[in-house]
Amino acid sequence: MATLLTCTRINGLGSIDSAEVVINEQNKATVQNTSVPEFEITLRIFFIVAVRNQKQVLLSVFQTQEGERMYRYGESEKTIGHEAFVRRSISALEAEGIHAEVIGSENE
Amino acid sequence: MNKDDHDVSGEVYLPPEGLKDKETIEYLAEERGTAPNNFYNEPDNFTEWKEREIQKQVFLLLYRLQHSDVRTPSLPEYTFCRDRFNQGLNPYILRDYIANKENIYDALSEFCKDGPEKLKAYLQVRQETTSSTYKKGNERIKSVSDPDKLAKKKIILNGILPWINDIAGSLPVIPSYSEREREKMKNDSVVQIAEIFGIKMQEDSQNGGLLIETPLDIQSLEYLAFRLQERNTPFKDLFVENPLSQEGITQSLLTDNSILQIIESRIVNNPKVEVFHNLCTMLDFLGYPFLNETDQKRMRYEEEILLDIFGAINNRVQETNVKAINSRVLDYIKVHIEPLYQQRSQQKVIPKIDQNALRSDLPLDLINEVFTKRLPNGIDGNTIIVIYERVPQVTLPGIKAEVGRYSPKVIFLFGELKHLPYIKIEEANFMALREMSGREIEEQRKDLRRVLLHELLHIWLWQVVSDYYSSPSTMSPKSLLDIQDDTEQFLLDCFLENNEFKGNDIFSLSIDNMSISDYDPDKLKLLEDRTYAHEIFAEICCQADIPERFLVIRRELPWHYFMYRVLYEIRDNKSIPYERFINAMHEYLNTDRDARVVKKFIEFARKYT
Repeated sequence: MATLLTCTRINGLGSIDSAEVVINEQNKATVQNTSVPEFEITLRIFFIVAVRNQKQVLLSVFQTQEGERMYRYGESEKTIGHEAFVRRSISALEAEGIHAEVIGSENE
Repeated sequence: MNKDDHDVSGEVYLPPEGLKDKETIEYLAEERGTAPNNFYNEPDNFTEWKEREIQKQVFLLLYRLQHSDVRTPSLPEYTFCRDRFNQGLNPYILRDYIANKENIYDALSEFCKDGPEKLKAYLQVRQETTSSTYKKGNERIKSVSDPDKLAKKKIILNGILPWINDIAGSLPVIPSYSEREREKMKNDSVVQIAEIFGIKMQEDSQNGGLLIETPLDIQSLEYLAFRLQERNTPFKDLFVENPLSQEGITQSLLTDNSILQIIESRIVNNPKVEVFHNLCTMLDFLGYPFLNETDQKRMRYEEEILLDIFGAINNRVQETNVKAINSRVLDYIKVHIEPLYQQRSQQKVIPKIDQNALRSDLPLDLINEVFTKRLPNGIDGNTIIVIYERVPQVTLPGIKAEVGRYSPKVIFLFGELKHLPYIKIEEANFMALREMSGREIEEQRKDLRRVLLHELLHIWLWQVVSDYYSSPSTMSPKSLLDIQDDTEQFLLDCFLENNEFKGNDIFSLSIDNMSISDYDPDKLKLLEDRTYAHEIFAEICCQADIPERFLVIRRELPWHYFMYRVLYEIRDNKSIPYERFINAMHEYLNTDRDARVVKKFIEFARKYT
């Protein structure tokens, strides 16, 4: 299920930049209908980096040859779910001064 | 051409040429090449074993690249070198196959020089013994009505195949092979060895059974059967020393240091690799901290070097380009990176931190902030040591940090293969590249903060255990490790008693009925309950660090929230939850895990506001 977001921000001149972002099931985002090219670049960068960093946390324990228990914090091969990715992206965008809102999904 | 294409002097303005090479951009965008895996367990099949061995070699190769002593390699460099490693290995596989076959035929010709003419003639044909050879003199030995064929079949099945089976059984197998793979490998080897002896075997898919073809006559087969039965025949050694299967050859190559060194040195000294490494180095440095707030000179220098590199790649790298680029990047490191590392080495950081961390871009300000502003109650940041391995672990590159029980005040941090900026690189848009680099760094900082908060709570728990163990009033006959186990049990009992355990805990946290899905559930399932409780505890602070999650924890998971208060609440210079936790834990340990202690502690917590 793809999710459609609208993203807006107030730019340095006090006017509003806007764009639409479609996030597909694999969490790949496509930025479209941007009001200015700079905003498109910002959003593209945001989502490329977000996708690169969407791996789940892997907590594990292992025993060394000396018998010591080590508590490991790592990155899983698996990625977070689509809904979690959308939610996380919205709150991270807010922190960047970009308001994002879900306006629909492919199923609707 | 419009007037904007001219600068004030009237000369034509040409925009800088960006990187045009599609393949290079695809590597930077992580759309090409094989990324490394995490090998948590010993490989149990050949493919996995081979992947792991190649991964090890590629990491070793990365550490030999020119600037690897000043920075952590990136994921694009890994995939780029990995592809070249495979390209370097494949010709050796073919070369060894041909050479091994030749060696075997040489030895067999020598061994059978007094044999029948037909056999000697066959051995002279050697590797050209393809299906066409079989067609020329072939005799299908399926029909049992022909006495000649029947005799041949009997010799092959009773006199030759058992010995070939024996040889195949003695060939070395990959240690991690599964039983099924071993069986398959042996069968494949039987077919291959038989073919060397002029016997082609295949399953008869139409009629069932085995289809055997041979250009050899009865005398030749009898001779072979006789020689194979002899004691001290060289056959076993011959086939062991000259593997014919792709797996056997690959295994032998991946364990042969001289070959690996040749492949590696060819890659390390390959101009394309050198230039790609320089490109990644400069893209990586775009995100390094500045000595001064705005260092325009450094930015200009970075852009000039990057433009040179783009040009070299666009115009197909020449060795002269490589030398010039290498020298410029080295100069850049000397002028801008080394002074940065020197400045970092003079910085005072809490906790104690090793030199590797100082000679890297590990954000010391963030570490300092976490260890001063987010330090749990009762712990002194100055007593903790952070050891940083700048390069990732070769078989577990996804591991970010570790703490152990034997050295409970040490946090091991591991570098990760970095992501690099690439957006608008084809237009040489450095503003976009810097923006992307900055965004990556933000993500890395967020991630590191989370890792540190998690590890700090492991350290906190081991410290309270250590304090208890070394206190003169503790007369426990138990070892430190047993007390650590009991303390984990205390945490587990508390979480269980409050029904805040598997399915209703930090790992299953949801916001508006939506899972946050932050954790790999399959690996969590593998943790034993005590350890699972310990990990819940260690993860509380990371999640509570995110405002919207903190609200959910406070509302939905009151015991988690109370543990958060144990760790962080201070009123009037003291922390009642912390003191109560310590007292309850001590009592629990002194009474050999009395459940009533847990109940009493929970009762207090529920009333505490």
